[in-house]
Order: sequence, then C-alpha cells, then structure tokens
Amino acid sequence: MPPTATVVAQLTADPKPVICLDTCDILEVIQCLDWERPGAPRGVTCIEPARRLLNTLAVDPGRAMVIITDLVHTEWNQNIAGVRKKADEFLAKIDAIVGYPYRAAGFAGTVLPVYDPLSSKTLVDDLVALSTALLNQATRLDLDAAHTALALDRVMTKRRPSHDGHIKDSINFEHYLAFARRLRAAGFVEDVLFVSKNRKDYWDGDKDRIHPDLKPEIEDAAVQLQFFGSLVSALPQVGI
Amino acid sequence: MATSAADAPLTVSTDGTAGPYVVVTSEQLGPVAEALRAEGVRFQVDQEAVLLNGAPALAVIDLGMGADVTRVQGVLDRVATELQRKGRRGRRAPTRKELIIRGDAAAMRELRGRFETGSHGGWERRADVEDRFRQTLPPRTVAFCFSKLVPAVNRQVAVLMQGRGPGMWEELHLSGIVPLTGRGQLDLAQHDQVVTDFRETFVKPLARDLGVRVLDRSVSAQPSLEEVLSTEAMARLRAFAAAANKNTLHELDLRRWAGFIGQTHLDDTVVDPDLLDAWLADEEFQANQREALIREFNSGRRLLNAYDDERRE
Repeated sequence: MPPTATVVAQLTADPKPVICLDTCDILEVIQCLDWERPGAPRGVTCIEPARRLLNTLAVDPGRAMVIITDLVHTEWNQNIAGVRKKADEFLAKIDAIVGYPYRAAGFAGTVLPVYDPLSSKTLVDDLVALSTALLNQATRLDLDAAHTALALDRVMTKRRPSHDGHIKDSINFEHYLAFARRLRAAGFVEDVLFVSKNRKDYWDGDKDRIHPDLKPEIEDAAVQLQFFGSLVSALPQVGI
Repeated sequence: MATSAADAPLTVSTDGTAGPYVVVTSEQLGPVAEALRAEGVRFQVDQEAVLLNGAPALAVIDLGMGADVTRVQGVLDRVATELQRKGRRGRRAPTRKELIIRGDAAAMRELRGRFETGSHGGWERRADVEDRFRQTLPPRTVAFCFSKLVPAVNRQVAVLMQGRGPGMWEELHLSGIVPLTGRGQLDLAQHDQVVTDFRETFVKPLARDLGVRVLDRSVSAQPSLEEVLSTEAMARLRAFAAAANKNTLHELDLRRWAGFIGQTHLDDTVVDPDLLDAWLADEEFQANQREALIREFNSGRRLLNAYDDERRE
C-alpha cells in the first residue's frame, strides 16, 4: 500500500480520472444474488458496469485510477464470507422453489425439461472472482489519525454520513475529501468521483445525488469531489 | 438488460458449415417449434441454452443439411407477425449487438489455435492486454484481445473475448469493446459497427470450414422498467395505465398513481424518470400528462422520504 502522498504524486505526474469506491460497490456484484424482500430478487444491473470498468482498465490502465481506503479493503475481507454464504443460500432456495413445480409435474404426468440445479454451478465463484478483481484493481489509501478523528467528530455531533452513529462511512468520507483536497492543491484538474450505493447515509432520498447536508463539502472549490450513487451512473462521466 | 423476448427477429442463418439454423428466445421457441411441426419441417432443438450478457436464454433450432431455407423463412415470418400482433405496442428500446461463437470441443480448440496465431483482417492480437484481462477473470478462463483501427468508426479499438461454459472451450463470447483512442465511449451504432467488422473480417474467415456457429443478437442496452420495479409496483402501474382516462386524468386515476408511488417507496426502488416517461409514452399518455405524472412521482417520493427521515429522528 503506497502512502497517500505517493498516490497524489503519481496522479499529478500522470493525470487521469479518479474513482473512489465504497465497500458496498465492490460487494454488490455478489450481493445482487439475494432477495430484496421475500419473493422479490434484487436487480443484477450492477454486474455489467463492474465488468466494463475492469475491461477498460485491462485494455488501458491509464484510463482511470480506482481508489479505496484501507478500511474498504478491511471491510471487504470481513464481509466476503458472509456475502458469499448468502448468495449460495439464495441459489439453493431457488433450486428448492423449482423443486415444487417438478413434484407437481410428477403427480400430474407433465413432462418438464431436466433442471440443472443452480447451486452446483460456478456462478457465485465467478461473481466472487469479479468482486475480488475489482478490489485488487484499486489502489489503497492508508488511514491517518487526523482524518479518523474528524470522522469521530461526525459521530459525536451526529453529522452525515454518521448521523445514525456509525463511524465507518465517515472514515471513508473524510479520507476521500482529504485525498481530493490534496490532489486539487497539487493542481490536479481531472474528475475525482466518489461512488456509493449507500442511500441511507449519502443519497438525497431516492435520488442518485449527494444529500444536501454533504453537498457543500464535496463541492468546495478546494475539493471538487463528484458523487454518484452507482458505477453505472459514474462511469460515463469518465468516458467508460 | 433483457432482449425483447417475443419480438426478436426470426431469421434462418446459413453461415458456417453446420447447416441452417434459427436462434430463438425462450418465448419464441414454443410457437416456432409448433409452426415448423405443423408445416412438416424436420428440426432439432439444441438443448444447451445460449446466454447473452444479461439477456434471457436463447435456443438454437437446427434445421439440418438440405433444409428448404426459403420455406422455413416463410414460416418464421408468419410466426413473427403473429407474435408482434400479440405483443405490446410501443417503441423499441435502444439495442446493441452481442457476439457468441459456439461449436463442439474439437472445432473450438482448432478455432482457438487459429486465434492464437494472431493477425487477420487487420486485427492484431494483444497479448499484453490479454494478461491483464485474464487477471480479472475466474481462474483458467480462456481470454483473447484483438485490436484494429476500424474504418467504419475511424477509431482504434480493442475487442475482448472470453470463454464461457463447461471447460470454457465450447463457447467464446464478446466481453467488451474498448476504444484505444480518444476518451469517449463508443455509441451504440459504433459498437455494432465494430462487432460487424470483427465478425466479418476476423471471426468468419478464421471459422470457415470448422462447423462452428457465429451468433450475433441485439439486446436491449438499457434495463427495462419491468426489471427495475417489483411485481407489485409493476402491477399497480399497469392497473393505473389500463384504467386511466388518457385525455383528462380522473380523481380515481390519481389515486391509483399515488398507490403506485407509495408502492415504489415501500419497495425502496430507485426509478429513472426517463425510463418511466418512456413506459408512459408507450402506453400513449400525452407529453403534458407524462410531465405532470412524473412531477407528482418525484414530489411524492420526496415527501415520503422526508416523512421517513422525520420518523427516524
């Protein structure tokens, strides 16, 4: 993990758009294999932009730099086993559901095509590989005490994104603000994007835009961080 | 990103050396098979589904050597007309081409060998990109990258192909197209022009005499409203549209619209206003009505979100 100053120096020497990700954006490609609520599966539209980003960077690594904080990396590692288990359970549940009409067909004498259980396939493995590739593609920012203290202050004063008392989002947010501030101070003029599908803490209600409480901070001329609620909406901003 | 299942084109393909065939969506398979049987046309259905990126499965109907292609195409045209008549009216969503190459293990192994030898039709193999591309894929996935200055779009582009399926030898599909010059994306028409160039000047010449199939299909480039909304919300939206007085919205219509707004809020669904507008346009709501409905949708959701925030605090 290079020190933040080194990452800033790399980017100012070789400018390219920056995409800062939240943990949920990286886990989402697996978490989409789950129920939104009973009977309603989640949408899977998050997978294609993740693949598109990785394809673009495989072809042209200079097209953009993906950034995460060390905390995002830690959170991903803490959660991946549980996320994977849920995806496996989701497929097993679908297999179980499909079993019911097959049993009915047996009694009714209806011929159905042979069903190949989803849980025996590599789908979850492949999605975990995609999520891992996205994580590994990212350059990690180290955490520093000063910005972690600022995050704690948000918790104490119940300010977004810690208005509910959780500190992790504020740690990421403070570090991305500080990173953008350092880039701008060094004369960096490329886009710096922050992507998070965390609606509760960052979004303006159901709108894919930053909450008004946070808007002045990211729009500060010394920061100029652009917020997007998903990779699919963020990537066109940087021509991907 | 679903392909339009019922109204996808129905065409007899005669390329390659594996005999004429028809690619159908799962919705088309039943009516097409029934019509072919009624006409006494012999065929076999390839039981292994073809999967496009994010689109429903397709099936391949093999007609066998010596099939009467003109007669079969006539049957397909009749089925297509009937399916379109039954299907929903409305504009077509923008689409983009996908490309899949399929064949038996031996033929695909031979094709892969031909790919590995490198250049053809102006396309150059990019081993450097392949190494990076492979690192982003599941272990042991077959991966290729070729680049070319494609005259139709006047840009240097890279085409990424990856293996899929058991052993990943029996199918290659287009994973992505990335422009190497300029920063902007290719638009959908340019994307399709690159796919066509790659298929015609690289894949087909190399695949000739191998008995593999080169399938290209257009799939929707945007998610549909049906994919975004829950079953309940979609049912409420359909009920609203079916009952609404499209000249002047009645009080009861507005109540049904409010029910739809409430359901999307309960579902916590993010709805793209453009997608909603397009759906309402398909249902023949006038521009001023659509504008008013979407305004009400936005203000309704804003109010409900504010209410939730107040309750939380």
